[in-house]
Amino acid sequence: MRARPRGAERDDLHERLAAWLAAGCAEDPPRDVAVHASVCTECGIRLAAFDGLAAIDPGRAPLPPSRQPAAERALVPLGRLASIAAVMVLAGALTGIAIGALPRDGNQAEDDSQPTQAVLGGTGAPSSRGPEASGFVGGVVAGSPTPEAIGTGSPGIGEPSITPDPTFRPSTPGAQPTIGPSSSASQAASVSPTASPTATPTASPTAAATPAPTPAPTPLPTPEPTPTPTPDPTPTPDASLP
Amino acid sequence: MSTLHPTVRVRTPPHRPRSTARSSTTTVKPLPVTAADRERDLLRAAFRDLHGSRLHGFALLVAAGDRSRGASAAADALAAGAARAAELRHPERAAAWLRARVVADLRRHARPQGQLEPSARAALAGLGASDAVADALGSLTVDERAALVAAVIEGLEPIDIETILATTPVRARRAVARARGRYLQSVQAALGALPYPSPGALAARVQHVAGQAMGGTPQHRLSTEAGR
Repeated sequence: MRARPRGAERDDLHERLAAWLAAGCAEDPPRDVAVHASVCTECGIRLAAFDGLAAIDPGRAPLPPSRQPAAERALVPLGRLASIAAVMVLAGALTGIAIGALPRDGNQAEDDSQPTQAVLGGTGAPSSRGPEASGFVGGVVAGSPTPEAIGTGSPGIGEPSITPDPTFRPSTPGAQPTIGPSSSASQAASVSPTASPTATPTASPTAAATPAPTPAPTPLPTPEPTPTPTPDPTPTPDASLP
Repeated sequence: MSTLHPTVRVRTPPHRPRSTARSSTTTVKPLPVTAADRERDLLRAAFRDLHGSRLHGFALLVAAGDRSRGASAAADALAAGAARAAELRHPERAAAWLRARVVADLRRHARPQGQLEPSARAALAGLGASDAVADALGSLTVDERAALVAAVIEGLEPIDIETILATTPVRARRAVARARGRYLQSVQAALGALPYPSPGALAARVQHVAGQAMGGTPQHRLSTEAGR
């Protein structure tokens, strides 16, 4: 038969055992508390709880992973940042050098991108490069008649019509075959100064737009101010621009 | 220098005869490991071997079985301690200093208490903690776990617990008592639902005292109730 104290005395024994446990169990418990705890289920559970803690051995854990000290470890990201910065500076310098090595005249690339104009416009003439080429392109756009006006159905500015116009040859005997059926002397002159030495600069582009290639001086030679510093020998009036 | 050899060469002093000038260039070899360096490395290794395992176990317990956080905190503290091992004036306090660093680290990245994950339980079981004890530890705060582990499991001195908790002696004592009480409340329900455990060292000690008080052999009531 269990010997259980009753009432407050039993609660007092519980509390005293809990106090002994909380104090660290440095000394042996009082005898009455020990006798009570040896027969009390609740106190036995409390004892088992601390026995469960005593069964834990932190020394069973393995060694933690080795690391560098914090001071040494802090230098690693600094080194990485420095290397990344050096690579970026080097890449920027190389890019700057590469950009500086590019040709300054952007029209040259444009000229190279349209080789047909140089071929067609320079038939029998030296190939136009540099400022002349830019003037040529501008001259075709500005001075040549529009394909619609001619009726040849040329695809566009960049691809001039190659359909020869038989009515054009007698009017301009000295003119070389040009990109348009109504290629006037001014056009030829704008293509290359040496292409048509006999071309008269008075030929107006408006006259070429008409089917009849009668060279009629334009009453309004409105010279459009072209900002391009192309050394065009004949400042052709830009009448074909819309 | 005309030579392209990677090693550093020292020029011949001018007063030497020219015939011996070529052979007089000496190669400066890298400095050998000195005795001081060797001693420092040995001290670091010994420090690591001495404190590593138990510190890792302490960190695992305070981290409630979180392996990554425990290992990280222990590794950081151990690396810092090993780097300054030669500067220790009181090596017997190194354990508390290391644990204080671990607690501070885990306190910064504290996670809310809750049900332990199976991996955390497994980590604590590897140290000898039953599921009920592990769950009870998981319900405590970082400071409570640190106080409980340092005082009850590791049996450190009160001055060490003050260092670990970074507090005054009175507060450290209260913290340990509070941690014991909280742990007891948490584990009591879990242990009450389990079959009665076999008496441990503490229960055997209480029974021994009870037997002395009754003037005979101690009543092994706990062992008789094990079959219920």
